[in-house]
Amino acid sequence: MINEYSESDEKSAEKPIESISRKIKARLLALWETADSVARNKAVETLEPELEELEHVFALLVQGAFVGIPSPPMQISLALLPLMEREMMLMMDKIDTANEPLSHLFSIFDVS
Amino acid sequence: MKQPDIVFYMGKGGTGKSTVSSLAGLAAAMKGKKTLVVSMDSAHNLSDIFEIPLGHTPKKIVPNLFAGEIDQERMIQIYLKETQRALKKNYSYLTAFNLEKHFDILKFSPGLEEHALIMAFEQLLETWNHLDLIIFDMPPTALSVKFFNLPALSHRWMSQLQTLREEINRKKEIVNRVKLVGKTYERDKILKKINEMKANYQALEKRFQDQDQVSIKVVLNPNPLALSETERIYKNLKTAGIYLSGIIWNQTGDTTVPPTLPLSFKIPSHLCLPGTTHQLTGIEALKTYLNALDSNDCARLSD
Repeated sequence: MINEYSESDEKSAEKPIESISRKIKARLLALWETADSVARNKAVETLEPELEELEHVFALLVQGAFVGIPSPPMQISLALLPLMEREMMLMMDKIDTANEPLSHLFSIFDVS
Repeated sequence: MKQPDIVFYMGKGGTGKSTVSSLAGLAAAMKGKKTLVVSMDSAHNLSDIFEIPLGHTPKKIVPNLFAGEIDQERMIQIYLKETQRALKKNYSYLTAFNLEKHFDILKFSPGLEEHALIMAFEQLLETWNHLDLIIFDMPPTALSVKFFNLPALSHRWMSQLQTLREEINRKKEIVNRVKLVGKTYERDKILKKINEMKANYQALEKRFQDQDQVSIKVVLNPNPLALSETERIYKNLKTAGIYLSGIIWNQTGDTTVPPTLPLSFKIPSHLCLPGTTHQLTGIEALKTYLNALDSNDCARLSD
């Protein structure tokens, strides 16, 4: 009887500890999942506009003739390429700002 | 120094352009003219006709006669390597662009084949300008027409780019005058390059249009397909202001009278070359054929 009493005492003593650790674990897991989800969304938030812009650039290169951007014969592009480092840098910078044309316009006119 | 006469033989595939080019070269050499025959067709036949292995650098065949076969791929590779060298020299941030990766694909770009032929043409004129005659055995019609049209097309492009660049420079000068009072505006290297290229294409375009400098002759067999293709060649070249100088009827039966010509245009000169049952390969076979020709026809072949 004494033994039974001590076993049941042990059982009831363990339950709160286990239950607390289980709760803590669950909360930590939930926290982790939330943090993971936020971080993933943040990463995608930066990538998505860049991806969209890359798709725009690709469409321009391939189908630009239909929106008024014809391509010269390749030997003309290649002959001028070594002299156009600055223009290439400008094009690459444009990829960053082209997704926010209004804010770019506002900054030109110093509208805050 | 007098520039060599230039003759192009073009036409539908299989009409005998290479054979006629070889005969014309040999006939000219036998008359004492220092002559070069060059194949611009990547499916070269001159080696087989002369029975002498030929390469990118022309070699002597018989006294007064040289022959060569242009290696288009080699011309394109050299051109792309030179461009890469210029990029490495001028660009500070080359690695940022990853441009080197793209050069492997660029050699397949449309337009580079005919540009390679133009480069070969200019190099040959520069190297062999001491000769009396240079004969070009051209590739089949599609590429040949692109070759002849490339200077005119490129000239138009350069004119447009020149206008745009001058407009950019005018606006830059205004900005610079406002912001950098007292400083002189730096000369634009891009505009300088555009002007150089435009002048070069303009000179080339005029050369192809000038029948005193360049003769373009079509080789055809007397059949409807070859006739239709000749019509198309004439119309295509006419849009660039280039006109044909002559027609060579190859493998005809009766050489006294040219076949009936349902062509919509007039050509100043016609020559009929009879067919032969013998294989026209080797110098001796070519000489035998030329000796059997009427002396008038033989003389006209080398004009």
